[in-house]
Amino acid sequence: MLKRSTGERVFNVFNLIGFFIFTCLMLLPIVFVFKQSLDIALAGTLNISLIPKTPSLVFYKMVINEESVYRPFLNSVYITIVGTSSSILVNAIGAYTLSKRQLPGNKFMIYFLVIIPMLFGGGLIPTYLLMRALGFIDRFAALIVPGMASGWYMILIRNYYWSIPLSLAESARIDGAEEFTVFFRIILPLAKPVLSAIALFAGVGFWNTFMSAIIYMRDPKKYTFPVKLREMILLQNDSDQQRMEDMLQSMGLDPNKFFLTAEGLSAAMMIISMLPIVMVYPYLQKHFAAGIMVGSIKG
Amino acid sequence: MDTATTARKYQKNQKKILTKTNIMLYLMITVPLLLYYVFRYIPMPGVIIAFQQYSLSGFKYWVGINNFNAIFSTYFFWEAFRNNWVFVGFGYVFVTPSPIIFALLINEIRVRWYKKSVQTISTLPNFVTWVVIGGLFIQLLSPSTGYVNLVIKFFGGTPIFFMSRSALFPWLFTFMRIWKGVGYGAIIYLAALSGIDPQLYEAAVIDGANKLRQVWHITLPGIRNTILVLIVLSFSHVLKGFFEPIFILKNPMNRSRSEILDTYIYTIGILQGRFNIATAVGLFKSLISMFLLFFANFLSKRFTEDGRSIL
Amino acid sequence: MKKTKILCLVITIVFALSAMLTACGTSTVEETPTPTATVAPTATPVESEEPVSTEVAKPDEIDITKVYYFGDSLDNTDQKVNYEVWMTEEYGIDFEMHYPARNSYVEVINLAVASGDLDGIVALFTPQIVREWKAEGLIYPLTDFLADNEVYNTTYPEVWKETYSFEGELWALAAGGDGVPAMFARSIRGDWLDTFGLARPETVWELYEASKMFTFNDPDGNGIDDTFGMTSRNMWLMQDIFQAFDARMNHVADAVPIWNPNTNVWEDSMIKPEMVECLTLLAQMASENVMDPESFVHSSTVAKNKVKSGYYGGFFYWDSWILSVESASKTVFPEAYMEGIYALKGNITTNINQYGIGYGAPMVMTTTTPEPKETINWYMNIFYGSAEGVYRGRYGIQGDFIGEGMFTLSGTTIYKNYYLDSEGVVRGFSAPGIVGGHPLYAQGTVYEIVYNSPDADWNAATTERVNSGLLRRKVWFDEALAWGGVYLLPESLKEPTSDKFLAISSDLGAAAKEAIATSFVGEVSVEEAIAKYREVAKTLGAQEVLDLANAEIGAVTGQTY
Repeated sequence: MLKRSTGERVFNVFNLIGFFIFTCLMLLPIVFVFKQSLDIALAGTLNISLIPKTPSLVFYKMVINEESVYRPFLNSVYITIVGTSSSILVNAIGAYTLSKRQLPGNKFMIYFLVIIPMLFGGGLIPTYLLMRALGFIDRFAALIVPGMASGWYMILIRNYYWSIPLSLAESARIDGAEEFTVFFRIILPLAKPVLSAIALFAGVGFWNTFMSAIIYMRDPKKYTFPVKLREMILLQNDSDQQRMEDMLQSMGLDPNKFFLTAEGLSAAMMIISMLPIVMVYPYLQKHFAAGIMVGSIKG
Repeated sequence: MDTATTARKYQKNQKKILTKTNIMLYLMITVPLLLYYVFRYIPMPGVIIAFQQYSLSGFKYWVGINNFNAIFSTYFFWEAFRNNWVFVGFGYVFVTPSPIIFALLINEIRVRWYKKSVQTISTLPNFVTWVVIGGLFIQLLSPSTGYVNLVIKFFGGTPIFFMSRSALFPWLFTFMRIWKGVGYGAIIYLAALSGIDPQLYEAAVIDGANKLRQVWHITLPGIRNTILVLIVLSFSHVLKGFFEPIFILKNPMNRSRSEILDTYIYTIGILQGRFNIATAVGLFKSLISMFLLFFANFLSKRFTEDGRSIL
Repeated sequence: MKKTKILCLVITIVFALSAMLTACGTSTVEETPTPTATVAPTATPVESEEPVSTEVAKPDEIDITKVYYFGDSLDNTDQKVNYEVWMTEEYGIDFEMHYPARNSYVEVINLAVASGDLDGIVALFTPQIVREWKAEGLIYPLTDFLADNEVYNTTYPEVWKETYSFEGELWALAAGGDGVPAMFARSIRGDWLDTFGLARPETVWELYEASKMFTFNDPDGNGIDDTFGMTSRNMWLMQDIFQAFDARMNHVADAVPIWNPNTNVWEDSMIKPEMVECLTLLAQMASENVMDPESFVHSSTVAKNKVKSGYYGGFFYWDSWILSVESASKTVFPEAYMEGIYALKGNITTNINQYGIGYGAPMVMTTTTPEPKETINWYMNIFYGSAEGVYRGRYGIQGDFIGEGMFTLSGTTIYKNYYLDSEGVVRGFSAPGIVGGHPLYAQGTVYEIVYNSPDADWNAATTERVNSGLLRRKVWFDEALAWGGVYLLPESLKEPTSDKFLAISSDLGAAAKEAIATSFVGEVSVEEAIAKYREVAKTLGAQEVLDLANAEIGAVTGQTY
């Protein structure tokens, strides 16, 4: 153990306190929104306490009861599950080919998948017309399929494959196993860390699908949660107010007694939107750090 | 890394491309290649719209570079262009160094559970969509119900209407970017820090170097390469990733300092149906990005330790 | 260099291939939008050789795209579906309703029409968009299709035809309105005025003084500084203040060139000295919190909620809402009541606030519609041809006896049906709102609307409330009409008609809004804001718009940018 000087000790104490304040700062916005989602107090009576004055689960109940809110939520869940799993499968398999440096055409594939798309993009209207020609308008495919393969993810996974000692694969190959078998039996199970990192990335990406949903989904029944959320946050219109009142009534509450603004509902939706990440991330964190490191530093 | 055996195997088959193994390998990558071809390459020639008169009713006639002349003479275009670069500048001055400082400081914490929980909490916002983060801050900064102003009022101050002050906007936005990305950005630096040989520190202590000198002479040089690589890499996508936050945070009062090229494209393209102009702005933007990418490649070859190329 | 070679090769192959593919792909798309020139004259006369045109065959289907069909797009799903099915059975035509969400309506219809997917009848927001779509060749002119239609020739009001006729052709049907003046009015807390012994403000300066008292003198007497003089939603909900200064906004509160009824000249209010005066006062009000400083960020609904909450002195919004905000604030402050002000005097004392007779949204027919003539004729016959059809389009499913369906028609009485939910609360149906009023209103026939729920007390109370409200509003309105505070803005003078205006109006409006917003919060001085606006307007060529518009009415532009 090294000895520490007084200066260092003072620094350490301040550092600890500093990080405590920093963490509070990180949490404050979330705690505030959490409070708002539970509070049905009047606008004029707000105070700086972070404990709701008149706590109620009314906004969460609305999310559960109201089709215009839970439908986008379920859509997002569906897109995330289907999109993430297919994305992992496609990228993990593709990355294996990319990891064979001597394979003829390897360079071409890197150019094709990573570098050229980085240089040129299609533009909105041609892409839209393409989606339409494929019959993807108003289908979740428009939100899932284009994002399924990603050159960048494949590079990350490929780099991780490179770090796997090949003696394992070699021994299998001597047993007469095909590339396919080698890949599924040996490489894939060993690549769990990087795959969970990619799962997190892809999952977050699909969960947050926003712009493409606005553009390709004409039918609001196909909206994703962030689209609905933005609507609640920014563009509250009169029908929303009407709806808030209807929702209250349908729950047997008197709308004249509550002054519900859409703020509380959007706060509840924000909290719900953050939940999956908060629940999943701590478990993935360990793998995540390992996977991402090998992937990007060596890239 | 391939061992000698595989290398030899490939050597043997070098002339023959379509060996059984190779076919299988090619099959494994067909799906990504096909997806990329369809969704990235087929729309590419569509950029010719930038040279046409093309609106809601589709193609009308060719106009050459008139669309570009039109945008270059528009006040709003230059405003968006300027703002875009302001955000990029603020990014390099404030957002890029913040995870480095964060990593250096948190690396000093010896209490493991504390360090770990701070890290977990600070990484989380990175995975939350800008729609939520934007909404969060809009509610937090609201002059009537926002928490920040409630605190200001509590201490007897006058509420400040943050989102309406266009001069404040770049600062607020920078703050949000740091808030969202600092913990996540630090992961890589922390890994690089853990790779530094502890003996170096011990030797420095024996030499009587204080903490600051240790940081300056050991820590920073130790992660210098990581910092460089990340900065150089970031050049290739400096203009990307602003759309969502600005789309959420923009309002008529801060518009003059918040409009960027991407939101401008959205407004004139989708809302006003002037597809040709929108495509021209998009093409102009990707030309800049392309230039930056080649520039980053040059820098990377020149300044990174192993002289690697990113292209 | 090897790398460059590969790059070049790949790019060439890719471009060649995808150019081929897109060529194939788009050719199918390009078939759909017909070029402008060939749209109208060729297609129609051939078909209309049929002598009896009321006998136009039924189309297979009628597509209707509109916003707020039984509420916003995700509301009342079963009512939406039921109505479609019911209409299809009733008329033997397949009714296809499309209802993009309000918040992305413009995006959705723009992309749909650009890809040729938008069929049938489409509701647009303003005549300006109709003119843009007409210029693009996206919609049919309707005159020839409807030339022999009896309903069109006899029942459909002339004013409705004029509203959406451009260059001698009808380009859109009006969704229709009740023929009552559509306008905004200022609401102000009467009980607060009483507290301070103030009269109802007549001038904009009196309004300022009263609002100052509301802000600083604790009108609710709770000892806390929690009240605001008034709120707004950008210029939209305080237009009367601008008009009082004679710095007018247009009919949707955009600060673009407008027609001044007092001088009969088209002018740009932004560069008038009166605008400086007005903005100086507004900036002062904002800095003192007399006017809600959040006015340029929150939505209209938030503004409305604020007034409803009872902590804000009032705002300038749809006149019918004076009463709805009053009843809401009564739940917090039982003694609260509202006064209505239809016009405030200021620099001018006549022709201050405009009103229009609402004829409803323009319904256009796109050129991708499969059976255009059949579609528009039957749309006309169904929704404008009989009282039955009108109210089916307006209120939904018709019932045969009183209490059945969403409404019941009996003589000239409409029973608007309500029902009791499981809690015993009276609930209403939402409405399709395809048409907004009977064409016969324009000719004087009035249908009476009766609130019909199983709860007789509720019916009586609602009728009483609505009628007394109408009466109060009429008193305020008539008073303003008498001293000349309000005037009827002719449809043709709502906005300049030149193509130049179409091209620059959104940019010009945005620049003006920004100048007003930034000076409002004190970000820049009023003079700087207007100087910046002038610059933008100059580069956009706004002068030309004014000159063209004035030339059309034989006036001379008195302003230069």
